[in-house]
Amino acid sequence: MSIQIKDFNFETTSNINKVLLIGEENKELQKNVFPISTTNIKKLLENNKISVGYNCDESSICYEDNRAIEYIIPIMYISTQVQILLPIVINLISNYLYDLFKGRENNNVSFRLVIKEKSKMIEYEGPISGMKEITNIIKDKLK
Amino acid sequence: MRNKFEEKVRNISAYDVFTVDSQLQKKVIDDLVLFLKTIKTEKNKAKQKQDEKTANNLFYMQCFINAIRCSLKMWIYLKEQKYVDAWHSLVDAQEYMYYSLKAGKDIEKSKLYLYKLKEREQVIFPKFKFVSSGSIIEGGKCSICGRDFNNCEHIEENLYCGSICKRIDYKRLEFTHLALVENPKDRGCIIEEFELDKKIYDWFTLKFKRNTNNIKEMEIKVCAYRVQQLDIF
Ligand SMILES: [Zn+2]
Repeated sequence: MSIQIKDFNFETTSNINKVLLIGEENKELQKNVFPISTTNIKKLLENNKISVGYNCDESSICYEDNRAIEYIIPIMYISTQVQILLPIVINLISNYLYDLFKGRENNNVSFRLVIKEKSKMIEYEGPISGMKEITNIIKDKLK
Repeated sequence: MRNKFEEKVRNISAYDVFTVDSQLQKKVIDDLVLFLKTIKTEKNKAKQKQDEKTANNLFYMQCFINAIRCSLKMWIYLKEQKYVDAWHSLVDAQEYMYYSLKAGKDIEKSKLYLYKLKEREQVIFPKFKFVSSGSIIEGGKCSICGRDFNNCEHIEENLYCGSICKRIDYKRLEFTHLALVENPKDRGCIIEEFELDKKIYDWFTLKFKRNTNNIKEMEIKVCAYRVQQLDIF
């Protein structure tokens, strides 16, 4: 399991959605690249009444599938009530992933959360069960 | 249906070993294919009635029967010395068992068979180096409702009334790179031939295959991508 905190600057003007998914701009492809999980994560949150948007135009999106077993969740920014929403988001995602990995030996996940106000990004890599740690980090380190 | 299924599984287990005659195993496979048709007819009836519980139970049987079918295929391929096909059959059998767990039925039975398959893997096959291919994807449809995958509520790999949801029929699929990985999504993607001192060897048999003239680069033969063909819909 590894948790790292990195500098990450990111601007957004729209706060309509509670959760914003952040892609990586690829100049060569002229697209915004998101991990292949993105649509599923968006649907998962939306099906549970959490509004989700992208930090780019939807028509410019393409997905990257690296076909490794590690589950890569798109970079996420929670625009409001992080302390309340984050545990709910993590709970929804981990329940989905426990079901996804049922019976398999490996259940590694990569989860990146942006703290815009601090210009930081928390990067988590490890088993599903460790994702809860991110909530504690937000409470302690980024006060 | 349930009784029929259990009886089938019981009777077939005698054929699910290496030494049984391949022709007999092929006959059993034909019989299983017919039985799968019956299961799916029943499943479609349950789907029409929106009877999710029955549909999911039938999905469990569908996966279990498919796993045994793949296992039988593995034995046949092994006897024919078609080792890549044998490996792919074993991986598919394991995948079917993982899917069967999603139905939440007879989990212990599924885990037992999965354990059996894992044991076979360790005894029969060498340790593999896996490859995974990176790709860029756009668009696609939902296997459950047929709509644009971005515009429906179904989530991939979830079980909906006896069928697994997948993104299918991509608008764009472009391969970008190939990587050696420890844990690939598809364990069927392996290095099949490798090079040592300008000689190419088979990964399964370690037999010499041919010389290589490639001076600059290492030559390997891999299975980089397998089209999803599992019967999980
Ligand atoms: Zn759908």
